[in-house]
Amino acid sequence: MNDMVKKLEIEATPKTPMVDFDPESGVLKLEGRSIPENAFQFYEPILQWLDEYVNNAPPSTELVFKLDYFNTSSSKALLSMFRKLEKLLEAGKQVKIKWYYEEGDEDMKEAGIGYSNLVKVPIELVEVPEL
Amino acid sequence: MTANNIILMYKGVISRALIDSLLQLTESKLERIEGVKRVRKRVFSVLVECLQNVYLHSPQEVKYEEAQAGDVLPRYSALLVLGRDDNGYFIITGNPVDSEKARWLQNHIEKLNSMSREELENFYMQMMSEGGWDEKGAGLGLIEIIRKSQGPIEYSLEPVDGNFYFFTLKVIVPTENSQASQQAQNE
Repeated sequence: MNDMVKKLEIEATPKTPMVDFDPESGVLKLEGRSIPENAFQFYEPILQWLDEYVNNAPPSTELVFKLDYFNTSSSKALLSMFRKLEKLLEAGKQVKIKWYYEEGDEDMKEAGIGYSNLVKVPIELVEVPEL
Repeated sequence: MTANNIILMYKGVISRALIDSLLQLTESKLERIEGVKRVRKRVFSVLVECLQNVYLHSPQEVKYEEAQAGDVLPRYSALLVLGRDDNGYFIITGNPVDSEKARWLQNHIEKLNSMSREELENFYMQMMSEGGWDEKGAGLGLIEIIRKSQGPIEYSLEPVDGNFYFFTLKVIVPTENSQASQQAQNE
């Protein structure tokens, strides 16, 4: 398909996550940690990619969220990301977020619950021994 | 605060590279000295927010990305102290701010300190979904610092010549068995 977006692959750095978004399978992976001083700079191209992706997405999308830390600057960017995925629901497509958190990390679990109150995309909490 | 209680201390200019180093140091130290994951993560998170606030809100003189040999050091340095005592972990940061920022800080912190846990949660959610998003970060840093620590937070603003104040912030993250934690549970 000519107007499909290309795969988005960004390597992890000590302060920014690994990004692996596959427009064909609909599996969007975000892993590592997100603590850049300027999250806007890092997330802007990702948000732009998502804008294009939602126009031509496969029937089902799964955002795999596996971050061990994110700073407040990132928290807004993440909210923007999740809100863009809401467009998929409007288009009648399936979408969900799998929110991984480490056993013992109550704050990350509660953050996931917090987001689930703010966005329409279903968020599934998944506890793991270690990320 | 005695020398034995200090885990890490830094005084000087703050650059992004320096923040990376301080965070790396802290993370490895915490792995060794703190067995409770939730506490380790909270201390780290508070440190991230504190350091990034210092970096983002200091006047230009205090931060630069690449110091050149022979550069004149700025008059006011940033300060960071991380330690642990009976109350838990304490994080102290200090940095110069201009008078406009000083006023903003005072108003903002007084407001946050007067809020209940529930009000803070709601305010955080509200600011996150509605507030502006500019280069200086989301404006959520202080709210997050109070949420993750044993609020209220202590601060001081000392006038230093001309238009500047030295802003000091002290945050306590209780350990599982600390007195502060017991108090919080009794509330």
